[in-house]
Amino acid sequence: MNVIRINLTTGNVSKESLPPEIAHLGGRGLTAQLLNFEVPPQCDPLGPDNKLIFAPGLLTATKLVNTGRISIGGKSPLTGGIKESNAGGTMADSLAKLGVAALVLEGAMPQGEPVLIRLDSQGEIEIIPAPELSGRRTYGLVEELLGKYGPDNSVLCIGPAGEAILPISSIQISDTESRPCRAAARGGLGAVMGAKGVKAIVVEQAGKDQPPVVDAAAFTQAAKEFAKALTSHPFSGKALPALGTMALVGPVNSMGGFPSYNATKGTLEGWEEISGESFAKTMAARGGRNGHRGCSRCVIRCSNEFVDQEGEFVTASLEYETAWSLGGMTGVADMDIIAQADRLCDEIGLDTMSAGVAIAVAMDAGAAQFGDGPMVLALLEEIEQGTTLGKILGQGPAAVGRYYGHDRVPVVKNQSIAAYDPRALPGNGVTYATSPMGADHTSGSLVGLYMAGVLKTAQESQSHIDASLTAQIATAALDCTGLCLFALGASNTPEGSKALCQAISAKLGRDFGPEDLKSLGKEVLNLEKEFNAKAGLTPDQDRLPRFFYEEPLPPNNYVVKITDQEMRKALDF
Amino acid sequence: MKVSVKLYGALEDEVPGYDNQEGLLLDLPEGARVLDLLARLELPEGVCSIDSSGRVLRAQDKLSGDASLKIFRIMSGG
Repeated sequence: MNVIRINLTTGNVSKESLPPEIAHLGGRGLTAQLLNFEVPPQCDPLGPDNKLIFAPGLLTATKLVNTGRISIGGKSPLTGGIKESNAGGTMADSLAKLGVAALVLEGAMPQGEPVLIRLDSQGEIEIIPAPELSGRRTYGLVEELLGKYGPDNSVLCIGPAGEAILPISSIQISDTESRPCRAAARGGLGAVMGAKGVKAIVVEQAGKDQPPVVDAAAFTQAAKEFAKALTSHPFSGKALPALGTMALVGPVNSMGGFPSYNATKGTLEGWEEISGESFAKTMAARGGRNGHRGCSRCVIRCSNEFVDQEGEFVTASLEYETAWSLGGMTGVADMDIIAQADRLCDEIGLDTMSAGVAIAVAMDAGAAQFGDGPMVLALLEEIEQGTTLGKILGQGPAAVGRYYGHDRVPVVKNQSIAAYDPRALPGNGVTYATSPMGADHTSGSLVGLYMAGVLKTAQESQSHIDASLTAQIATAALDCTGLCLFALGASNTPEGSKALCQAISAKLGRDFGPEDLKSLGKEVLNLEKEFNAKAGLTPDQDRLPRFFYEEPLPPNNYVVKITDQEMRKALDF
Repeated sequence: MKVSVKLYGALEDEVPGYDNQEGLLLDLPEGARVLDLLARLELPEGVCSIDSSGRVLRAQDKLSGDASLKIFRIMSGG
C-alpha cells in the first residue's frame, strides 16, 4: 500500500510505500500519525503548511463487510486542533483498490485557482485546472463530472461553503448511486480543501489490486464470522435496516435528552412527527426507501431515500443528527423542511450539525423564532449567498454567540455538541469535553448504555467517565479499520470481537487480540492528544459550557455534575 | 393492574395484532416486573423500556399500577 503525495504549490506528485512500522495503522490512526509528524501544530489550518489526508481503513476493500469508511484528516480551522472526519460512500473502496493507504494534499494552489484531481484505474494522477467549476453546488457538479469521466468513478468534492473557507464546511462524497450525500462534515475540513484550491477529486472505481492480506484463507473465514455477528446483532441487524439512525428520535426524546430549542429543553414538542417510525410510514406511502445501501460493502443498509409528497427525490440519507440539529434545535418538527435543509447543506457543502446549531443559537438570541421552518431554509441560503448574517452563521455557533453577545452556546472547542444532552447523558458530555476532536458524538457515544440501564444519569461521575474512556478507546481503534461505527455493537460481542481480531491477525500476519485493539485505540488517542498539546490546546479547554451546569434541563431538570477537574483527568491512561 | 405499552423501533412487527395507534393495554398481576411484561409480549433481547417520567427501567424493576411504557430497541449510537 502506498502513500501518494500531491504538492499543489509545486505540482509535484510522489508515491512511497507505507513504512512497515506504521503498516498497522489505517484510517484515523494513519491520519493522526502523518499529521503529528508532518504538520507544524501551530500552523494556520488554512495555510499551505497544513495537509489534508484521505485514508481508507486498514481493512477497506477486503472481504470484510462494512469497511467502506474513509478518514479525512487535517488541522481543523474550527477547533484549532487535530481533526479526523469520517464518512461512508464509495471513495474509500476506490482508493484502497488502487493500493492507496493515504492520499496527502500538501501546499496550496498559488493563486487559489480551483483544480480537479483525477486518479485513473492505473493510479495515474492529473491536476486539472477547473475554473469553470468554481461556485458550483455539489449535486450538479458530480453529475457533470460523472458525465465527463464516466459513471464508474467516485467523487469527493466541496460546495460553495468550502470555497468560501467557512469553518463549518464539509467534504461531500458520492454514495453507491453517485450522489454527493455522504459527508465528512465535522471540523471544517471542506475549508481546508477550499484553501488548497481543490474543488473535487475523481477516482476511477476500476482498480484491481486488492489490498494485500497475509493469510487469505483465515481472513475469509473471519470475514464470514464477522458478517454473521453483524447481521444477527439486534442493532445492526434489525433496528438500523428498519428505521436507520432516525430510530433514535423516539428513545432520546423519551429520556428527555434530545437538546431542543437551543438546548433549553430535553424534548421537542411534536417529536413523533419526525421519529424514525413516522419517517418509515411516510416514505412507504410516498415511495421513498428505508434499508438502502449507501456505502461500499455495506450489509447493514441503514441509509434511506427521502421523497417529497409527489414522490420526487429530495435527499439521502436523512440521519438522526440532522433531524436533531435542523429540527430539534430549531424547534422545527417538520420532516419535509428538515429534508430540504439536509439537501441544501449537502449542496452547499455544510455540516448539518454545526449549521443547525448556529441557526439555533441565532434564534435563541432573538434573530428569528424557534419553529420557523422557512426561515431555517432561508438562513442556509444566506450562508451560500455570503450575506453578513450568512457569513457569521458560516463561522459556526460560537461565532454566532459572540456576534449576538449570547452565551448559551453548546460547543466544545468551538464545535457543536451532538443530539445527546450532557445533562441527561453525562457520559456523552465527557466525550464532548475530552475528545481531541472537540464535541463529537462519534468519538465515544454511550446512548446504548443509557438505554440498557447500565448507566444512569444520577450515577456518580466516575461511572460516566470510565464508560466514556472505554468507548473513546474502542472507537479510535475501530476508526483505524475502515469499519462503520455501527459495527461497534457487533464487534463488542464475543463472536464479533474474536472475528475482528482474527481478521486483523490474518491481514497483518501476526497475532492480534482484544488487548492489541485497545492498545491501538490508545496509540491513536495519544497521537491526537500530542498534536493538540503542541497546537496549544490545553486540558483547561476540556470542559463543557457553563450553562450545562447552571440551567436544569426540562423535563427532568438534570444538570451536569462532573467537575472541570474530573473532566481534565478523564483521558489520563 | 393495567399497564399501557407502546412499541417502537420495528418492535411492532414482533407482536401479532399490535395496533400502532392504540398500543397495548395489558393486565398484569400486582408486583409484576418489567421482565414479566417483556415475557408476556415475547419481545426479543436488547430492548429498552422507558416510563412516562423518562426513567429507563431495568428488567427487575417493579411496575407501578397505571404505568405507561414506551419500548424501543437499544441503539448503540448514530
